[in-house]
Amino acid sequence: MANVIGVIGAGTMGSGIAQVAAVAGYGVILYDIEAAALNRSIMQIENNLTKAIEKNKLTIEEKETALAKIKTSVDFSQLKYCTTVIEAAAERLDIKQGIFQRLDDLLSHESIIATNTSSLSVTVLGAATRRPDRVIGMHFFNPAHIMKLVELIKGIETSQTTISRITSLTKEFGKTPVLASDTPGFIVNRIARPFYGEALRLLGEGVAGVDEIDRIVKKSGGFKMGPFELMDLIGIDINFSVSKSVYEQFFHEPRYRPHPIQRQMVDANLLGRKTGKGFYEY
Amino acid sequence: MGMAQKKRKTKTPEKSFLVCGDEPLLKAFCEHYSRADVNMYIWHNKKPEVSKRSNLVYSRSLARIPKNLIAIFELTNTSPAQKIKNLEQIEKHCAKESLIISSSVSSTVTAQSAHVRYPQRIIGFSAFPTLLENDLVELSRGPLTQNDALKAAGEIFFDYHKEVSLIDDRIGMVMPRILCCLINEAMFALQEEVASMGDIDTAMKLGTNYPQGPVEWGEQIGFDQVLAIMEALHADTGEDRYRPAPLLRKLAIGTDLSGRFLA
Repeated sequence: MANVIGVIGAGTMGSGIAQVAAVAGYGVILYDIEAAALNRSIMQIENNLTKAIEKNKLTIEEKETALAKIKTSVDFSQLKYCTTVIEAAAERLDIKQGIFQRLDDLLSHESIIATNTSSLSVTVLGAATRRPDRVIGMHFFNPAHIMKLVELIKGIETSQTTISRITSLTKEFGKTPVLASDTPGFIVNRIARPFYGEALRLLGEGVAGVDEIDRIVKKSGGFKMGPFELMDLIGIDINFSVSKSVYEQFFHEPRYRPHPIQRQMVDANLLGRKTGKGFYEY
Repeated sequence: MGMAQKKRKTKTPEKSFLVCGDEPLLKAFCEHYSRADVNMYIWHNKKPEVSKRSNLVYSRSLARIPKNLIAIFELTNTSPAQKIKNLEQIEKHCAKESLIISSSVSSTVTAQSAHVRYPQRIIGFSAFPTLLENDLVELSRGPLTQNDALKAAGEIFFDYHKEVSLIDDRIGMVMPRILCCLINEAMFALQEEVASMGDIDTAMKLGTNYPQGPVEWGEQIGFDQVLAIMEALHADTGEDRYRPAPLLRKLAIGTDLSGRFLA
């Protein structure tokens, strides 16, 4: 059972990660508590791989080989022989801590437990196990099978060996790893905050309108998308919850303070593309 | 409308611009905005290194520069006091009909207008390193800026194939404010050792599709420019969120930290 990667949670991120690992040649055990979620996940992966064939990025044989490498299971004990387990369950501390404790009991001493968390502390999750040196953050970006970046997050006790092993694994997945310390928002979700926060303030202060700010950011700054288009794409609720999370975790540091416009949009269920209306209509 | 412009054109036999201000902006402006049909007079305390062109004329003193200019571009961001001095001297020397198109990133057009005798011809613009070359220029007006002055400034940028966007007169304007806050945040992350410079830049380019990483972008802009905007935003709003990162201050002073944070 060498080189088998466990993936916990068959949602969007878990499916993407399972696909990336399988395409890279790893055996994958994809676990979820719901069989229906696993079926949906396999369909999603098949669709993604078919699209990759259409774009000449994959052959039919490679697709079949990759799919054959993914085993799904609702039985947690099937993860026992995995050398690395990547947890991509719901973004709730109690759920993740429970999973980490069970993995700690189940896995061999050498196995690494990685979490795809975007907002929880890797150190806190490590502390739920007897192996905090072999716990690490592995933050993929959505869609995981397309986005090249993976933020690796070292908890206070994460060992250099663990960092090296997961750095190599990330590269074998065809991804670009960057290393971040275990601080709120890690790199991207923290440094990107002013892109949205200042745009919302400029709007709130009446310096310019939504279209105008987006136009300026694209044509004067050279960004591919303006902040309001991007918030609509991400989901205004998701963006607001990341803003709040970083703000709370930094003990109300004013640089991260969310803006009332965000809450108002969420209250009105104007969440962006997914509801057909956000800062723009779709 | 076109009246004021016509008048200016009859008074000025040849098209001439005057440009002065922060050296990096001065250079970028001369490289990007020099044209065969316009004489560009550079007023600066030392000759900036720009590609030699016959229509670029350097002078240390305003006295050697013609009085009738189509437009004066004042490009000082790093010292509001120096900007006021420049504007005062420009007013003493140049015809009152010349447009003054002044960088209004670290001080508002309103604040600048208070120091000049003919504020009706002052227009603010987003002069900021690395953004000058791009397709859009932000413009702003003071309380007394006349519509025809604004229109004439828009036409000048149109001649350079630039789009313009008129925004409210506010410190930082739009793009420089967002960009400087991003770079300042990257400086906080760097000094807290969240990640290396290289990893911060890689993460922002690959994770959110930014055209450049915030650290490399800050280096290209010049950290003194970024600091000037953050200090101006901080002073203007009194908000802690705009306080400059201590590392940004060090880099702005010119401390050579190259290598220290390299990945």
